Amino acid sequence: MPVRMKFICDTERCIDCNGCVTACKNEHETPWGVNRRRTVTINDGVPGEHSISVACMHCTDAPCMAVCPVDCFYHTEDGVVLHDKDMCIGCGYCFYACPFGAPQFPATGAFNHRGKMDKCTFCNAGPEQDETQEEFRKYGRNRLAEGKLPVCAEQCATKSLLGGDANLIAQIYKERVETRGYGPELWGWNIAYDAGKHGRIANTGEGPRRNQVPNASQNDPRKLPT
Amino acid sequence: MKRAAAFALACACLLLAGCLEVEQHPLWRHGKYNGKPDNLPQQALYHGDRMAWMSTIQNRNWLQDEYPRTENRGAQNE
Repeated sequence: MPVRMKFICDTERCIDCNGCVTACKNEHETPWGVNRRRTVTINDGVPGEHSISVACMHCTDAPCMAVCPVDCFYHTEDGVVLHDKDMCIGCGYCFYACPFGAPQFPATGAFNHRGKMDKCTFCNAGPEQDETQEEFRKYGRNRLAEGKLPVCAEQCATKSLLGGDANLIAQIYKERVETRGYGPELWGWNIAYDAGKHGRIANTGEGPRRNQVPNASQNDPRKLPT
Repeated sequence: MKRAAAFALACACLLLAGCLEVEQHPLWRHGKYNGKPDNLPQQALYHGDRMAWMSTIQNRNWLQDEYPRTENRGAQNE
């Protein structure tokens, strides 16, 4: 059975340290202005804020691939969305189509020239001979070919960002949610997952958690601590 | 009138047929994904042994789950 590589970010654990962003830039030596990964904070500065690390989500039905006029994208057998920089014309359609803002353009030339699109490769580089200088120069390091997972996920200090086989990371995430007793607060637990074999998750969605003090400022994003 | 309507309908069908739906999951054939040459990840350093490559990836995947590690640490301290 083919592996289906995916990322998932546990927003209850992400502390907005930007370690994933830094590690990614360092690993692939991406140019100035190109961030394959970044962290976004919702309700920044307000008690109850949540952060999420975002990059290419390697969609199974990828909109970038659907809109690309030169058809430079492809899915690998492991479900990773890659693109051919030699074919890319830098039109920017993929940037508009992507719901996650994953495509990046170096914009180093004159007259607003965008340059070739660059995006997260799930540390799987691109259509070049694996582990060659040419591949590294165009697409960055190929960690998957080395038997390693993406550096952003592997270096995450709080293990917030999980990356790898979708079935395995979903299992890790599910166990985590069942252990702590509540799901992610940024999206719907009931939508994405079932209640679990160990019984129902005690607290889901917007309701208060068992271990929270009612009316405390931490429970109410609109109520600032005084 | 009917003829004009049929003609318009045929034109609309032809126009719709022109909308290309890109093959999103091309098969890996002769070292290429739909014309884009790429190796399989196990070919560079794993001598094409997909099982060995997958087991390495899965081992590293499970390292992202810290619960078993903390449970063991707890048992050692007891």
